[in-house]
Amino acid sequence: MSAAPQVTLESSDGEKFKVDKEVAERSVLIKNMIEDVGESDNPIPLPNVNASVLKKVLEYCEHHRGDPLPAADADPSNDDNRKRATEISDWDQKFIQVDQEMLFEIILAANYMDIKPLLDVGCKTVANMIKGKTPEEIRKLFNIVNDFTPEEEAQIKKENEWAEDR
Amino acid sequence: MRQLIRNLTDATLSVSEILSLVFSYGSPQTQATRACVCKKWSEVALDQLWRDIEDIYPLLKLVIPLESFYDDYYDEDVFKHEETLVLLRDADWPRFRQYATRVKSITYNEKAVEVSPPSKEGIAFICLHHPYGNCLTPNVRTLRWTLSYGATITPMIPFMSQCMEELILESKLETTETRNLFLGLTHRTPTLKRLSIESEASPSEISSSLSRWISTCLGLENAHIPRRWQTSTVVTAFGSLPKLVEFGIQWSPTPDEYAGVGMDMEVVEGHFRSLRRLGWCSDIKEAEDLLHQTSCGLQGLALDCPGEPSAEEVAAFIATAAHRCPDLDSFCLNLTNLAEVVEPDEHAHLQVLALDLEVLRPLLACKRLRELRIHYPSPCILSNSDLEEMGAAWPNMEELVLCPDPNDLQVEQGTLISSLPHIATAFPQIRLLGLYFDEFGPPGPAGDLLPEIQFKCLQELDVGASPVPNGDTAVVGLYLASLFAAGTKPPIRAEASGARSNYFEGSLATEEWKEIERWVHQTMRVKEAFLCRLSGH
Repeated sequence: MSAAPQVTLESSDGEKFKVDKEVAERSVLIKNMIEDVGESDNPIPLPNVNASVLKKVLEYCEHHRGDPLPAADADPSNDDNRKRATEISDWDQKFIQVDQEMLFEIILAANYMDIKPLLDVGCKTVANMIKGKTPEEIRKLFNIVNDFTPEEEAQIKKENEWAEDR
Repeated sequence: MRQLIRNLTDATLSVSEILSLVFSYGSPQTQATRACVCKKWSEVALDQLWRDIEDIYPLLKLVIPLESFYDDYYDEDVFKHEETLVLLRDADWPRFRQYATRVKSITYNEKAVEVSPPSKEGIAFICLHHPYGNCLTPNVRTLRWTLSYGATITPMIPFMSQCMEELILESKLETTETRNLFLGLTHRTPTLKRLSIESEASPSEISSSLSRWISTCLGLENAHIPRRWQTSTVVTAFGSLPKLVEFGIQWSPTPDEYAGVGMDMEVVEGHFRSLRRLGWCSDIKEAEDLLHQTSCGLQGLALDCPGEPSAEEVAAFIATAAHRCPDLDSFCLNLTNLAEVVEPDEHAHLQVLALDLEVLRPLLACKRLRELRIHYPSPCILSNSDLEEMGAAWPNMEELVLCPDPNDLQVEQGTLISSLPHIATAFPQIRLLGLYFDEFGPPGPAGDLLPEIQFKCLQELDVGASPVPNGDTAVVGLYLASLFAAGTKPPIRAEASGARSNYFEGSLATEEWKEIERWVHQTMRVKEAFLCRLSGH
């Protein structure tokens, strides 16, 4: 039996990663690139992802290599998918226990590399971080500037207070 | 470092797809909080919060001091509203608009609202005077609306949206109000694709207004109406729609529904050009004639049969259906309304055909069948070799419900419960199974909790009016638990349907089956814990 086909990925800071093609193809971006260019020994450049993040992302892909691929047309705004649970599997939970900087790097990388399930895990984690916090606490957490006047904020609060008990 | 995180946060959360994805998780309450964080967040959070709303009042409150609606005197003092409404500040409307345009679907149950609804005149006033053309919520695609008696908010429906694609009405409106609603909707739902109506309004009085409205819904693909509403006027209107793929009736088990005749399913030549699925209510002989008139492309048939068809007629109908519709994937036949429930001693004169493979045999030619339901007042007896034959013919079978309700409880025959492994083998994809089980058939061995054959996808077991085999709940419970794959938890339903539901009350073995269900669920826990330990080692 011949060894599983491999590809080489190159991070923004020039580090090279040799991984099984099946693992790399969890990323739709890479899958498409391989399809377009055909298989070659040249490394695939990922100019938006540095080595430490890529290592982490590949760890995720390796663990989930056998998972069924998500349907290409699954639309997150779709009704069925919308009221989704914020539960994250145990392994993913441990995997995503990183500092805030790394969390956002992973989300950006997952978005860029088009790895939908990883993007979901990242976004769920951010959503969980926000849960139960007041607007002011959220602003502090993410360094967001409040661009509402006090009147505007009060107005929005009032117009949406029906949602409070749901 | 802090600066770096800040830039990174900005970079991440300013990608609007990412922000939308983050915001797709969270309760309405969380969305409301997010909306107060900053302007950018507000836009995305409000889109999520207002996309699918379950109450219309938060919207109305934006433009009207709704307290005035809840006034005890509201219906005596209609003009008070008009005065209030005239006082509406122009500034309120853009705010209303800002929210109203975000709404994509409304699920509104009038009964669930405890406050008095606004007066009809008040609503009409809002609809007619708001400054944005004719639509209050111009982007609404789906409207699910449950109307109670004397509902006063109904006149609003035609003013909601002109890009509606799905309308589901569950209405207790009086006939006149129903008619007015249809008149109001005429020409106002050009993009409607799916329609479902439940109503008790009299067919003779709504037929023409319904038909007029329907003839303006040229994109309609899927429609379900009350069975009494299938009058020739209405059927003709639906028949002329070029894109109608599915036309059916609402299931209603009460036999007295048939008292008011309005059912007249006839196909004019050239009508129902795109039809693939048909549900209707008819005498079985006429139904058979209808199948001869329609094109051969039907894939779904659901017939509700109020008459007293003879055994031969039923067999003939099944044969014709199988012959005329070779691509059939769904076949439902409801015969439980068969006249009155007869007393056991009167039973002798009623010629009832036993439902067995010989009756079903023509359907074996329909290889795509994945749903087969026959509600029939005699037990269905299937041998293991019958099951094998059926399994080979229908590899996609997912829902198999064969006569859970025999005509009287003296019946001593049914399918043996020990046949279940054969069913699991024959139909590996079965999700819903309904059978009448034999009272005296021995249950299979319950010693092995992990037999080779198990139901992998079963989601519900419907036993209808079956007695508990051998009266032994524990043995049956253990046996069933052994047959359900770990991780599945199919509920067991034991209730009679159709005309028999009242007759059987009190005499059904419902309590015993509930106990069996408890046995099953307890045993499943043991089974799963055991498997868990196995995999841990």
